[in-house]
Amino acid sequence: MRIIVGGVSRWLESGMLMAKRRGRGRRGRGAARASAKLDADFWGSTDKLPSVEQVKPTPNPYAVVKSLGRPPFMGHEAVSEHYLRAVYTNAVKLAEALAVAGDIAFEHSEAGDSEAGDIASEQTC
Amino acid sequence: MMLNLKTNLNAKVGSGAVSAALNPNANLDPHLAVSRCFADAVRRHVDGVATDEDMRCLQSNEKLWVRALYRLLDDIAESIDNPRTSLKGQQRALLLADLENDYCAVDAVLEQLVGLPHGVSSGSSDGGDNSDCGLSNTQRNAASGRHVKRNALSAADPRVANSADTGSTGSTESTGDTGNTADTGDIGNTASTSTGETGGDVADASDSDSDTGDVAVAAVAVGVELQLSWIPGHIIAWAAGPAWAAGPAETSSKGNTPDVQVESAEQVLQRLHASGANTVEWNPHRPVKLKNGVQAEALSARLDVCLGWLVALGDSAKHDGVGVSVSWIGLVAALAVRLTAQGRMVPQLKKVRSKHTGDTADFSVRWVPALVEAHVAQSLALSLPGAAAVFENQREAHVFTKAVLTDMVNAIATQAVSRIDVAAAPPVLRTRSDVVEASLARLDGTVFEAPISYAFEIGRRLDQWHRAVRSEHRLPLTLQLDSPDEKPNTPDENSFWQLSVLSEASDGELQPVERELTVASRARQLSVKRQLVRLERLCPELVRLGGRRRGEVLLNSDEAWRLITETGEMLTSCGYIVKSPEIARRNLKPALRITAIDSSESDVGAEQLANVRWSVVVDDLELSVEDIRELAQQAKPLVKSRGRWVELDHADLNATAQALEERAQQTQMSGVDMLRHALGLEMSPLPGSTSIAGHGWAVDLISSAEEIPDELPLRPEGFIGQLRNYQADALVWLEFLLKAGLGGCLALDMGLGKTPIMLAHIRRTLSDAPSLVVAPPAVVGNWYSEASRFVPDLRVEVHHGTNRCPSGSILKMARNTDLVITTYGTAMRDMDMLEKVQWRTVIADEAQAIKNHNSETARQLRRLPGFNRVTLTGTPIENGLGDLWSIMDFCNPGLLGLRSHFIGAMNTLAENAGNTGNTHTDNIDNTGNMGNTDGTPVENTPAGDVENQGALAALNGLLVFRRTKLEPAIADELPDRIDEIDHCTMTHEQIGMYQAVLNQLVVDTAASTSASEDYTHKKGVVLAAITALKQICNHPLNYREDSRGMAGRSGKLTRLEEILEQVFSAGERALIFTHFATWGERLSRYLSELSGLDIACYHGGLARGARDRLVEGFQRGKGAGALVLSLKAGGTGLNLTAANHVILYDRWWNPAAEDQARDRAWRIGQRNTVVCHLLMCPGTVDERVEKIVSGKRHIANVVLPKSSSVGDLDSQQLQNVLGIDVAEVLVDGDR
Repeated sequence: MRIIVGGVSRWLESGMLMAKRRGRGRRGRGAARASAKLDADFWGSTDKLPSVEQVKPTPNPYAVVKSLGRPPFMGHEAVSEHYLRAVYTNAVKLAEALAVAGDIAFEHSEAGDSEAGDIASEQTC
Repeated sequence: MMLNLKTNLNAKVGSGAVSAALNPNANLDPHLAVSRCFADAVRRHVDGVATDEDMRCLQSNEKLWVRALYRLLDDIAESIDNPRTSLKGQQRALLLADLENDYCAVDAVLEQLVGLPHGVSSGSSDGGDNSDCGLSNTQRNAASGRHVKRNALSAADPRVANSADTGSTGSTESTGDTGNTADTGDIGNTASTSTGETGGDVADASDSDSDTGDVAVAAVAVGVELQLSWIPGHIIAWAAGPAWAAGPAETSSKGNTPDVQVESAEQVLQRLHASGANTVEWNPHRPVKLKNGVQAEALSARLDVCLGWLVALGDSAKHDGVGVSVSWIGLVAALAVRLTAQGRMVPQLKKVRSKHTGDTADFSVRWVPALVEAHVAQSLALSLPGAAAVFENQREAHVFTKAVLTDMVNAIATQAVSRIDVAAAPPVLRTRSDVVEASLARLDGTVFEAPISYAFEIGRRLDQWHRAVRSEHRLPLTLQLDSPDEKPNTPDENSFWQLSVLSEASDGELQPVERELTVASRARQLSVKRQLVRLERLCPELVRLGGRRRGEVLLNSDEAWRLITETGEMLTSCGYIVKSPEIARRNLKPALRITAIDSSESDVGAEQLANVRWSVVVDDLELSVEDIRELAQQAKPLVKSRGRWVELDHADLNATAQALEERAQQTQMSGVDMLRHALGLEMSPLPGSTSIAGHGWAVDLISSAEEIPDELPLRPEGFIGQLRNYQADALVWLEFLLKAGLGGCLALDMGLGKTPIMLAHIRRTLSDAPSLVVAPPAVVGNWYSEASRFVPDLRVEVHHGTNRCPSGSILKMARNTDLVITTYGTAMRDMDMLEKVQWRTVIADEAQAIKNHNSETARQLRRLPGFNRVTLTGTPIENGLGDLWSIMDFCNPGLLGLRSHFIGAMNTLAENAGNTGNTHTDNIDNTGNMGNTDGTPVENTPAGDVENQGALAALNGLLVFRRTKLEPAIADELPDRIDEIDHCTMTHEQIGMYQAVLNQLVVDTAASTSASEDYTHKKGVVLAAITALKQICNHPLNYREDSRGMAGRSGKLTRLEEILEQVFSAGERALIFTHFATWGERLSRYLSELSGLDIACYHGGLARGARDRLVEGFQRGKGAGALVLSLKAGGTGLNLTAANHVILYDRWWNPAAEDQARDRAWRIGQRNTVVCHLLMCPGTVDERVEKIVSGKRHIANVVLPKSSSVGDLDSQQLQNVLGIDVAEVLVDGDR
């Protein structure tokens, strides 16, 4: 018997398309319980939502790629690095612009005597 | 272009092959074979890259289009089976997720085309083509699906719809799958028929309601909120909410109670616009099916065009009318932006679809997020509201979350790619190299056909390449940087920082990475190794020769600093945890420190020498000469201050080393000298001010100045009334001065109450010795009256005027009083006797009188002996630092050194403060001599003279107590208006003229009888005389014209000049009222000439336009300025809030007129405290007017006064009322 896992839309749900594959009655009590839970969580709760994290663009957009070694574009390694570097630089800039527009950009405080000028002892990802 | 809902929704619809399409088992037209060309167009449409030609092709045969989509679904479904059996673990999950995404994309298009699942439609749709030209691609896509759907729905049986309300889906015979649909009556899962749309336009709720009798589309409901859902490449907006949130639920005609309330598409659009999405193009989308058959009309927008709007929605949950689903989508968008901003995404090469012929298939590059923090992904998945996933029923929350995130990251990355130029791809891909080239040329996600074997190989290599950052179970490594141990605060050149790479062991402890590579399980070893290899690429120091073991390396200070300041941030963005000593980016400036050694408070006085040691202070860190030398030689001089590492500037270190070298021989210093250093009076070569430490007179002095009493003396003993906080601060400061034997300058702004503070201080520190106040004659009366008011038990003697105590009795008088008040003139005359009294405190009020240190007054006043001396002034610096030196040198003779030296030192101090960007208070902090520094911001001072303010700031809290009205803390305490009466002197000329007019009045009225005619005449004569007397009090020229000029002929004018001098030096503006218009004009000309400012006169003789221009010009003006006004013309109706000083030059009988004049400035729009100065000559008609006015004022509060009857007064009474009171009058010569 073929089984569809995940990615099943209402089309599959209604059985129109997948009846021949799944047979009848796959949705039993377990599915009903899941639906009940879905019902309860349908509108969601603000209490559960995580907070928005500020966006701080990386000083080195290509660093993640660099950490992976040369991209596996055989025979075109140099070109691919060139392209990817441009893509990452642009993507970081674009993301920064989106963050600024969305008011979630990390706000740099003036360096000086303020405590904000200090770098935290632990920087976690 | 904004969507025109009505137009689109009412467009003619076709009703072609829906029935057949909805039922795959139905007999299909054999001619509907799907050609490859057509299949490609279908695929491109699903991918969102269809051309106009594709759309024409598809729409020309919608049956075929639907069939092709079904076939595509079948293909994907088959593809799903393979990885389920052939793959395991994460690879399987990834592949399945991709296939599911593909499935959803096809599904969404199909649903757009045919509206509802087959199982719920009646299946009665007839066949036929549906052509709909003339719309844009987007609209056409949306509209075509909607039209077909409407057609399908139009045939739906209302009875079926009603049955759906009960929870049954009303499944159709066509599938016979009732068991499958019966369970789907849940929210978002209800495969029931539409109610609101049945048989009509969704925007036409009444129409649909009439068919169904349901309440599917409610009016604007209170509990309704904007909701967002995601489908691949699109965001769907709709508005709904639980009915319970809106109060009692609306009951349908059939007695059903809806659980959900919804809004129409137009209302959704309004909500979208209100939330800032008005620049996004929204198109109709199939409705969202909710509980009990309720449907919410929906709009869709492309994800890439609404991403900017979505990012701002992350914290929108706090706003009314916005659903949690909106915030959730916004949070995912924010995460996508954050990941992309950190470069955390990688490309994948994915097969889009097979070609079924040959060895090629369609592929595209897709950008997927990398290094997603597990806890972030988890919290998003846990908070996923069903409304956001309303088009998803089966996928688990974390898979759905990942799909949304990937879609958003891909949208940003592909947009970024579209902004760069890449080489064109080869037209036909045959070799591996061709495929690589094509992949690079198609980084923007466009689909290309490629040989399957090569493309799969490249895809696999890419997956392997970025496996380390894609794994959800990667073990993050920690980099720990330890500072040198030998000397924690100042590392020497040979000390190193240790960098260690640590990994979290299975027990949660951080272990050296090498240990994990040896003892951990193979899986962990692999994971750790992958991360370590990545790290070594980013941090090459880790792989240099000589390291003790893998993952450990010693760094010099330069490398360590670079790691902390630059590399650390980059490593963090690459998913590593960096633990390093804290650093400060502050620009620390070294300052000299003098430490008194082997001395104590008891044996070292102000003039005694003490052994001192010189050192340098950087923030809280004291460095010796040796430390400085050592640091100066290092490439990266680092010091640890307040627990953080700070980099020092080489130039500063060199200057410091030189300064210490120059002072190496200066090993002894007196307390006074140390104090001078601490005050910045000895020019320091370093930017920071010199501080003093250890024990001794100067150190103790400064320490005691910093002491803040537990409780401020707001109600000091013997003082009737309550001091304001800043006044109590000043009182504490005065006591500090007295205890220290120092003099000081109480430099409160005009109107802040210097006199009551001094009186409270004198009362609080009573002793056998009296205190002496030397003041201008104008304020002597004020001192006396305020003493009577605030400290009534103080024995006060006014030593002034002809009736003053003879010089021979001064000693005796002083013994029997607590406070003697005298004028500068009298003090000069009686100095020989006054200097024989040992005064407790000598107070020089209006100390600008001694600002010229060479003046006779300043020199003579220095002869007065006192335990300490205090000067009072609102403007300690009028012309320059020399004024301040002169005033301070009177208080503490010799302490400030030479005048030129003081000015130079203060200028240097100001320059250093400017160079370092520090405020003056920062400098003071370094000296440690600030007891009350919170009130001297530079910007609060009017003239803006940096040097002057620097000097005041340096001395403030120790030798100067400076507060201004503009300081917020002071302004908060002040009333809106302060009334001050200024007692003015009379010149001998004024007195002579005054007496002459009075004598003539007595003569003129002596012969009058009580006859009516005489009475009227007498009254007129008296009133005329009163006017003349008032004019004489103003100025002789106000009474009689002559050519002798204005200056020096009127005490009142002199006082006005003094007030204006202070007002102008404070950069403020004043209104001067007089009820003599001609005098006002003369006064304005004189003041203009004197001050150099354009001071006009506003009077009734001016044309209206001229008057308006005057007012406008005055209001617009900034800084010092004044306007003279006649009381009658300018007393009402004007708004002159640019001024915060009102000077009533002469008095009027009616207090209301004065109040109205004052209200020109004291009104709405006035931001400052208004100080109202009332000028009055005591012992004259002015004072009588004042008394009458006071009486009237009192009466006026209850009932308006009636006119007086001066005609009733006889000669003697007139003499009493109008004559000069010799005891009261202030004669100008007293100055």
